[in-house]
Amino acid sequence: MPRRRAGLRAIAVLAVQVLMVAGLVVIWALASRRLGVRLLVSTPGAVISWWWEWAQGRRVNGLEDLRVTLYEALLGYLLGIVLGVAGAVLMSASWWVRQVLAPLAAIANALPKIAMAPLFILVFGATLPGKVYFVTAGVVFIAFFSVYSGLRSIDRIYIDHVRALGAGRLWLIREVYAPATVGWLATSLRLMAAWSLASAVIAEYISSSSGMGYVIAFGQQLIKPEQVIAGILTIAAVAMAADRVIVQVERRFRGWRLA
Amino acid sequence: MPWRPLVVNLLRVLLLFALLYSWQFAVDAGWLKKIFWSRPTDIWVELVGWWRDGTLARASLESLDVFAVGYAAGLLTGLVLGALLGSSRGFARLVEPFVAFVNATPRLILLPLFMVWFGFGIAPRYFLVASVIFIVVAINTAAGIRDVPATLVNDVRMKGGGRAALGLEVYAPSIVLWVLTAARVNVGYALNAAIASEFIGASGGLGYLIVDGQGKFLASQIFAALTVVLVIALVLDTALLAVEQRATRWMPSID
Repeated sequence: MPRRRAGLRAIAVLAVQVLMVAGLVVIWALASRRLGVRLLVSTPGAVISWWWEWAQGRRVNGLEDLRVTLYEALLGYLLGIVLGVAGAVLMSASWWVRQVLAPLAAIANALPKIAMAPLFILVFGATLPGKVYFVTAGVVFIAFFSVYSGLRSIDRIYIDHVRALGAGRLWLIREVYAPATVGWLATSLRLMAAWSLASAVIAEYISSSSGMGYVIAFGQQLIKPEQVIAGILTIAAVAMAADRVIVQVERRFRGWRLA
Repeated sequence: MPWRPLVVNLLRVLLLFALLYSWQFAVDAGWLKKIFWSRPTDIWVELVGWWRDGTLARASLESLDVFAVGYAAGLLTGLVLGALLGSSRGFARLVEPFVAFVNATPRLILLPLFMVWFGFGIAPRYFLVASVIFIVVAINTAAGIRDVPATLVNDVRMKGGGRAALGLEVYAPSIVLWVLTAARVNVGYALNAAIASEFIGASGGLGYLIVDGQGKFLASQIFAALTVVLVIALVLDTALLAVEQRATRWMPSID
């Protein structure tokens, strides 16, 4: 009996949620019948039809825009992970290196990365590598600090214990260092994904001729709110989907963690 | 070994000077293009000029205005939403997917929309900063409320504590703790948002100086503005760290 009631409640919650979304869309549609409002928020129908035409390649660059943005975000994301992990490993290698470089890393981390977008555009132009580097700069410190904290959080006892059992460097990495840092890195992967998407879109927004940021900027210039809203909603949906995927991957690898 | 910290600090200063010097040297030798990389001395001259003609104070205050008002608004709305999420299980369940959606969306890209809605003045910038942090505050507030052990609540109730006593003595400290732990991260987000908001349609502020420098190919202007942003970020972070340590002084240390 209780299980059935829980199931019923879940259905009720879902129904109310669907109703809430439907209600919002209805309010949006009704409010946008007035011209003043329509100029600000367009209409649900206009947004959907714009999106459909865009997806078929009849507006801006079509799905190519989404592909460009995802490409920049993904490359920058991967580069950020590689550089962040490498930096953390190098810095953990020696007491002296760690002590001397730690404040520099903290200072570099404190700088709001978005503020550097125009600098990257000045140096690299509106090119694809420039945007990838900008995304990398935005996420590299998230990876770096999570792995660095993971490596520093390892109890000496584990290391001594595995060493006493005759472990070499490789064994130590596989049995102690990697499991200890994977959990730390995993928690930062979601944050990095959101940041890399946002960084790519902002770099495109400021200067580009393709990508979702360009779609949004162009829509704003043309005073087409349906284009701006459709662009933002597309990015939001992609970000949400990426987040879900990372959560699922993280769940699968949870077994390989140092408890 | 008492000499060690001294040597470490000396090495840090030396490294910083070596970095700045090699930057300057690389530009002077022609390895780096001056039009892109400027030079430390040029950046310094730019900063001194800003200090003299008041640009430094004006631009910093304008950016800090966006940051502070937006942050306060985001904090307040986040606390209210978080209190609702934390105190009503049904409400939390209803809006959970919406919270997840907003949390996963990169909110920085909302600025163009806010500019259409709220005009091209300072209002959309406040909204952008608030929108970036409010959901994080809400999630942490809700966590703070749920984190309070039921036994503690029952204990206070049994001793005659009413709603006010529960709120002030039990829930508030827990919320403060949770919100404070997210505060440093949030300040970083808010500062990012404040600077980014000045990239578009602004006529002042540090973010404006940065894009203006890009448009006019004035690398020293970009680097000088970035230096000011960095100093503001470091000061805010240090201040918050001090507040955090003071507020959590009563807790047993985990080390």
